[in-house]
Amino acid sequence: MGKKVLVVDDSATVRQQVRMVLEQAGFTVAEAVDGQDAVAKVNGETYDGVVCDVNMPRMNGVEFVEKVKADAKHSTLPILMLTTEGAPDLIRRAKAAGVKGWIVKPFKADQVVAAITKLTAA
Amino acid sequence: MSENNNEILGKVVAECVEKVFDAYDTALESVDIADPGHEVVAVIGYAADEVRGGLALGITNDLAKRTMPTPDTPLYDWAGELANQILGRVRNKMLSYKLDIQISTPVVLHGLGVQVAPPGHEGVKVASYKSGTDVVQVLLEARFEQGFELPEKNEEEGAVDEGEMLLF
Repeated sequence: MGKKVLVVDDSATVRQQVRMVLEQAGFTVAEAVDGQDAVAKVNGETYDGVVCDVNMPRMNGVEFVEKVKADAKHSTLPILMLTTEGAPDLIRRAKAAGVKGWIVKPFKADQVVAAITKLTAA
Repeated sequence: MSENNNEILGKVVAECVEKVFDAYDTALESVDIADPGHEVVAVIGYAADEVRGGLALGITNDLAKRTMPTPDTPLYDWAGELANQILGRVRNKMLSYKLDIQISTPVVLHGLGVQVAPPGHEGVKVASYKSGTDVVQVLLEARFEQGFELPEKNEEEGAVDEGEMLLF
């Protein structure tokens, strides 16, 4: 079984798009619909990496990273942000919270695969 | 909205609409056309200290389907994501003008002949496009604080470009 990646996005289309790309590359994929759902999932199961949107209802992606990374047991969990957001201040905040990569949508399949392959190999 | 603000925002939105559709292999041709009514309209609000408003994307089912990157997710979801990607790109571009807008999540309306008719006050721009026989319309409403003028564009204050990847 491939490495297990959690894909977090409030858009079902984006979740399925990323799922298709990662499964073709040999990853096993689970989904979460927003930051709160993602917190519950990473606390309930072990993942090798997370691909996460920023703008989502209930809990946004940066808040998710800050919450998860505040827990020492998730300190090494690699998180890649996949978002329309490209604001330097937001990227700095996410990086400080522990994000390891950032891709601005629309994305290319090989970018996501390359990034998550590298991050989950570390 | 002052003429300057209006012109700048209008150009940015037009550029962003075309670039987002282009990313999904769909060329748009700018046209001057009366609102034909749409089958799907996605709406997103936004706000900053200096401005607030919303973006509406009116699109046909056929065109939304043609641009969809996945085979079997709901059309309304994809229409909302398209609007999100357009407004997200607008947000990133407006950072070069020191305008830091926060955007909400999309709401999508379905119907027959849903119109994105402007409410008839200043600060509303409607842009129309064709792709084949399908019409796409984008309405952007912007209410700037009285007396606010966008500053000169400063590329150094801009956002990371769309499609760019950063690894830390």
